[in-house]
Amino acid sequence: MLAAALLAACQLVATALIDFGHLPVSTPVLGMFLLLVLLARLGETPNGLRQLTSWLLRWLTLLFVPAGVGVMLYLEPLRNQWIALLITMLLSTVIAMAFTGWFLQRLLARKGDADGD
Amino acid sequence: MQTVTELLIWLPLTVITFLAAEWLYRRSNFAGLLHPVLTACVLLIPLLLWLGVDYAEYRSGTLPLLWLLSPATIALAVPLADRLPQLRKIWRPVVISVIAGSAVAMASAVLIGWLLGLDALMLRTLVGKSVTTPIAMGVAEQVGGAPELAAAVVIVVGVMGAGFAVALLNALKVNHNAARGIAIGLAAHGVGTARALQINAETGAYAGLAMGLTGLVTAGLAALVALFL
Repeated sequence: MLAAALLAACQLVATALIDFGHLPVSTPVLGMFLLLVLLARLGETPNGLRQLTSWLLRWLTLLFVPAGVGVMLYLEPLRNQWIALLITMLLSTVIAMAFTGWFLQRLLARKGDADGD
Repeated sequence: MQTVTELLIWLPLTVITFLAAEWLYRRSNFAGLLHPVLTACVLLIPLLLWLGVDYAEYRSGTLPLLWLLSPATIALAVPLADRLPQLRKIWRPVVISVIAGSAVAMASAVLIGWLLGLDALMLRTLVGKSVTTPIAMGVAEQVGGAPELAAAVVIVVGVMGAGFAVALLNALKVNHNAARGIAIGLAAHGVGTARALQINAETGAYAGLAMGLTGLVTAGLAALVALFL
């Protein structure tokens, strides 16, 4: 119960912050950030919260299905753009993964040299 | 009254289709193309079109699932908090490369899509294409894209990234576990993280960490972008 109230509180506070501050972020993302800051300050996750969230996350994938089905709203714009869309997704994913792997490996190598290990 | 009927039909049908799709996914030893959300959509969309049911009707019949999406997204903070200690030793290079990598992922998607002639709605939807689905839906909302389309785009991106990750990183001689895991989690979120866990536990843990960080960083960068739209 307490855990559910905590999640609801994160959602409420996030909604309030977004409304009053006119922040261009979505409620769940800001709520997640608030909970992360709270947990980091707390240093450990209470058991009840862990049980509730692992149940929610077990079903997280199911929750995307109604949204995914919403693709049917966009069949018209997709009809003549789907090939360009797939190519964009593929190239951009290759670039992002290659860049991040190469860049972090370089940074780590430099850190290794500086530490002398 | 009509809503009750919709709930009685579409909610159980969605859950059953998903469970069957998930069973198939497990049986296939988690073959990317059989991701349960893809399978469920491929089964449900033609059914709805065939029955002449419009999306608004289906949506109101599955509304309880959409209500749970928000708390479930907030719940992602728990696994992310669990992974924070991993950051302690190498937080600076990891955070720098996640910020740079997220910017590259967003900019390359919008630039390539623009060059290939995608319309504004598609480009705005692509901004969050490399982050985990619930955050990508939020990012699409932030910048004026289509959250429903973002959900599908993200899963397909994850399937692609998980598919070529090992070959690409080997070809580039990226062999450090942290660099491999962060690169996979950044570009291919949860589907990639599942693939990274198959490589080894350390790579998987870094992929999970990168998935969470990339979601936060991308949402933050998208907020900046939204200010200029």
